[in-house]
Amino acid sequence: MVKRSRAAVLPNNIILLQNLVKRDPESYHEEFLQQYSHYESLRDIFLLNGMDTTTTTATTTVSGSTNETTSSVSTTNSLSEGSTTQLMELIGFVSQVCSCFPRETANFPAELKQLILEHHVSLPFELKEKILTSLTILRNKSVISAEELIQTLFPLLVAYSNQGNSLGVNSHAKELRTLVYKNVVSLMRSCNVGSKNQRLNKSTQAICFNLLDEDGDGRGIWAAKLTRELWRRGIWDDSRTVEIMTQAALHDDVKVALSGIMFFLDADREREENFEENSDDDNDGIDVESLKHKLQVNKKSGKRGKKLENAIKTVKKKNKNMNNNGTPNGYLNFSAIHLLRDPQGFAEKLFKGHLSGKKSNKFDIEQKISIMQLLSRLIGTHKLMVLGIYTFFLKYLTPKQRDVTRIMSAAAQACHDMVPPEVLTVMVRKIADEFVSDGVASEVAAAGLNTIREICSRAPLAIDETLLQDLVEYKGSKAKGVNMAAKSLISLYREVAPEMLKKKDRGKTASLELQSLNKDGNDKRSRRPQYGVENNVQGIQGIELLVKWKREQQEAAGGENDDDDDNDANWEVAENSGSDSESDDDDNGWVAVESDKEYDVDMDDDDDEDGTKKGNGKDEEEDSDLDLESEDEEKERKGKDNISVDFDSEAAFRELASTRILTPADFAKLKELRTEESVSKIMGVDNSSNRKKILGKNEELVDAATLTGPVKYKQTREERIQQAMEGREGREKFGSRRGKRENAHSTTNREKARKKNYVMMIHKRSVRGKQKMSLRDKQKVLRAHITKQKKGK
Amino acid sequence: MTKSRKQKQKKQDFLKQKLKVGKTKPKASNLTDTSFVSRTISIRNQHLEHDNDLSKKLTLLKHHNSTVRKETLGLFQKSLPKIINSKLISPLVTQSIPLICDDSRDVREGLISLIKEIGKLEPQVLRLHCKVFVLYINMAMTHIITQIQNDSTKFLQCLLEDCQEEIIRQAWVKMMNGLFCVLGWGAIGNNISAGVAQSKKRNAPTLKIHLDTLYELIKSGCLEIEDNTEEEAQLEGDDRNSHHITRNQHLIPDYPQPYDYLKLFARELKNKDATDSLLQSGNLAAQDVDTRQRIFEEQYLKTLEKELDLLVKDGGVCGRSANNIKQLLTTISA
Repeated sequence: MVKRSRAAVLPNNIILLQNLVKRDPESYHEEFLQQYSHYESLRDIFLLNGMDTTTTTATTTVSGSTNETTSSVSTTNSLSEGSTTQLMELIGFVSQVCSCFPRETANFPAELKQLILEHHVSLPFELKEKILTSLTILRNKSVISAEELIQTLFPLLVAYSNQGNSLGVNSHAKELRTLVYKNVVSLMRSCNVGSKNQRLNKSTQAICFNLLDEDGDGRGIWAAKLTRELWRRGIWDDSRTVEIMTQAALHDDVKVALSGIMFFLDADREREENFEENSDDDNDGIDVESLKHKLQVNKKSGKRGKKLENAIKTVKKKNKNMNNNGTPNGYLNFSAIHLLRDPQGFAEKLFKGHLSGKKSNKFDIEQKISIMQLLSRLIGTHKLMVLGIYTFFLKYLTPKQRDVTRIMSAAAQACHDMVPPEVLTVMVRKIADEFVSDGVASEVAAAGLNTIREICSRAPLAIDETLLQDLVEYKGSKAKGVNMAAKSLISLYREVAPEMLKKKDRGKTASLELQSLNKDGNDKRSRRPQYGVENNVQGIQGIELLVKWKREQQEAAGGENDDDDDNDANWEVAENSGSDSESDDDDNGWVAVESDKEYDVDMDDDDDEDGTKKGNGKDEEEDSDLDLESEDEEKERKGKDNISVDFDSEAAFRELASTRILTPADFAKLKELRTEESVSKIMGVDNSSNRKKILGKNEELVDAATLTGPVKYKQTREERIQQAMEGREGREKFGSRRGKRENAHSTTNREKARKKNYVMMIHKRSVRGKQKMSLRDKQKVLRAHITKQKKGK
Repeated sequence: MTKSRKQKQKKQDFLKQKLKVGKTKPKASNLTDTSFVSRTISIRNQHLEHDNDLSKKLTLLKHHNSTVRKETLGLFQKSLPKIINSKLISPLVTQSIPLICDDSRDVREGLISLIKEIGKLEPQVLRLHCKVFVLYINMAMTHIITQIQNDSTKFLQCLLEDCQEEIIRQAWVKMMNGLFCVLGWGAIGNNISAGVAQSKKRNAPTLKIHLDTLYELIKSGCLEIEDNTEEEAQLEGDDRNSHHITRNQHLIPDYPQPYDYLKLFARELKNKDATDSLLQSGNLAAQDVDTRQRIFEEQYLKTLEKELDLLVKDGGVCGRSANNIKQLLTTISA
């Protein structure tokens, strides 16, 4: 019944018919066929119109009147305008109901594709737009596959990025390009929701490769743009994508090359920003309270508490950075630079093609700096050898160079410990000569010193002893930036190679270590970094902490439980004692010392510090190995400490990794322990294994802005006023309330009386009487007036 | 005296001019006088003469107001004898053809009368534009608005009078399909309720016109054309009539666009199954009578007989027309 009544409705517009057909395709089959043939005839008319223009011109040229030609052309054009809307309606209609009649409309998608690919020059913009959206609808209804759609869209993109087409009068090239581009991106996104559509991705990437290969204006840029966009959205994240961008970066065209370079420089940041918006901020899971409790600082003074807070803050910041670069879980954190297939080849080609060759003139300085940054980052991350770049930098390392800080940061990043020190020494020497001298401004000197520090933190051998000692002399500079930079250089070399510093600069811990080494009779040079000796972190960072913690836990438990773990632990102990006679003793002793130290720190922290200072002072004065007894003891403990920790880091991994599988909970604990350790290191509680981390910072970026250090310029008057006004914000209630009304009211009699004419008032008795008042009364009145004024109102 | 006047003049510059109520504002001292005086005034002649250029009226065929369109058609119809042999006729026809699908009934009727007029004066013009006519008539036949659909057969009738040969040769199958569509005799229309709705569209007078047109179409398509007149004319003009049949085959045919089926200059979308499209459009296949007859028997005869029986039973004007067609069928099959 329902069907019948619905069928009785006679549709008289397309939209209604579309609705009806969708609900009941069977009944409206006839109507659909009718409309389909209507579409066909309209399409034929449309095609004929294009022909008409040519034929009419031909006939009229025969008749020989030019005037007639123009008029006939214009008429045919306007003629097509009327039917365009109809055709658009019908195309929309057919594509909507296409899935209901697959047999009848088998040719429809192919026709649309042909129309837009072959006749896109003559079609009006609206129609092209409609065809594109209809094709997308067909894709969504899975009438055509995504590959087919992509193969239709890309030629259009290429066609409309050409100069010739885009200059046409009503071609709407820009709109069309954005439309097609948006379609491609949304298509790729919708196809990669859930699981990746590898086939589509591969074919699209192949198209991108081809676009980059062909020499055509404005073709490569689309490939680069699309790839960047998809990378940013996390749709493409494999090495093929990166390979496309390496091609783009090495492209001859400046625009394309720059797009590729910027991809490598910014892509990761962009992507992280994109995802940071999505993910919530969850404090990195550091339990501040438990840390506080463990360090037992809550009994002590506020200063110490503040110090802890600061320490935690910095650790958090570090962790955040580490998380962004480091953890290999999750596909997001593989940066583009890590996914490179042939970093060495890429870097060499980049250097030869864009920087050193004759073609380098096509880039301006800004672009060249970008290339330098990319190159240096590549070199730093993968420890590549591009020796030419260091001499290339020499040319730009002068204080007058524009954006020199960015070049300096690039130069610093390009250093790593596998570069021959001779090459780097030249650069360091140049920086020292150009930047660090008495005649230059303080921020220039600071920038120079900071750059040298950054270089040396990556390649400690890049500087020789005398130059270092010269530079260190700037620690006495009055300019704060220079002062800080020199001191940071000192602190760096205290960790890396204290022998290179003068004795007075070495500091307590470093000189103690040196002394102990001397005493033990070890080789003096053993701690000094050597060229070609790698000191990588092996295994899992900080695993010895986990082992330690586990043992502590077991000790606490007391071995009463009959757990597997416990058994394991027992077995381990037995093994240890079997293999290493001392280890058991060592272990126990180590734990005892640790608790001792904590106790020390808690109770008389200030005293201890004073003591160390005194010790240092003595060192400087007497220049000998004389020491207090207690310090000696401490040093001995330290030595033991170091040994035990060293043993642990190697053996612990073997032990733990071979006996059990680390669970996520274990990793969480590991993370917590590491933060704890770094906190305590900053606070000066225990610094046993600083050294290892210093050399592993190749991937960290050098921020160009911080190289100059804090620069303080004199404020202008406006700035000063603004600052003063800022300080007064929100303090209105403390100011005078004179002349301010709390709530609106008319003038009081009192206020009126005040404004009254003087001459009128002077004869009043109340005024005249004032003169006759006694001195005492006058005084009273005056006093009352003053207090009232002070109170306000 | 002089001194004081001078002083006054000097002071005058720095005094503030006082504005007074009811008086005009004094002019500024740096004012430029733009008024001028002349002895005579010349005005260009007003263009009262009406332009007789009809080509400028062509655009009115696309005017948004239907009365304007209708009146323009009437105007052209009046002036047809003048322009029939001018170069204006071609744009006129191309521009008026789209009005087949016009929304207004009056405009369509005006167009029909215009076409008839043209056919009377010079049928060659219609023959030349036959292809476009066929396209638009086909479009009208499938139009969603019923009135336009119903009127489409009238146009077909007109054309069948004047350029029968062309239409039959170019688009006989197409037109047959279209007519069946208009009549609602679709090949797959098995749904009864939809059929009911379809038949509602047609009342007796329009149905009669449809049937008459169908009669004409079938008759012209499937019966041998008795081109006696032509033969006679050729007999008179040509003495060597014994050769003319053989010779004629090698001459360029005398109808327009004879090699159209080669599609040398046509822009068409390629289909996957090319053979099907060839049969559908019937450009090549339906050019001679035998093929047409075969197609007729294969495709249309069955439904035609079934539907005609129903119509004859109903009787009335339509029944009579249907009877005519039935008789025609017997002659064809015979």
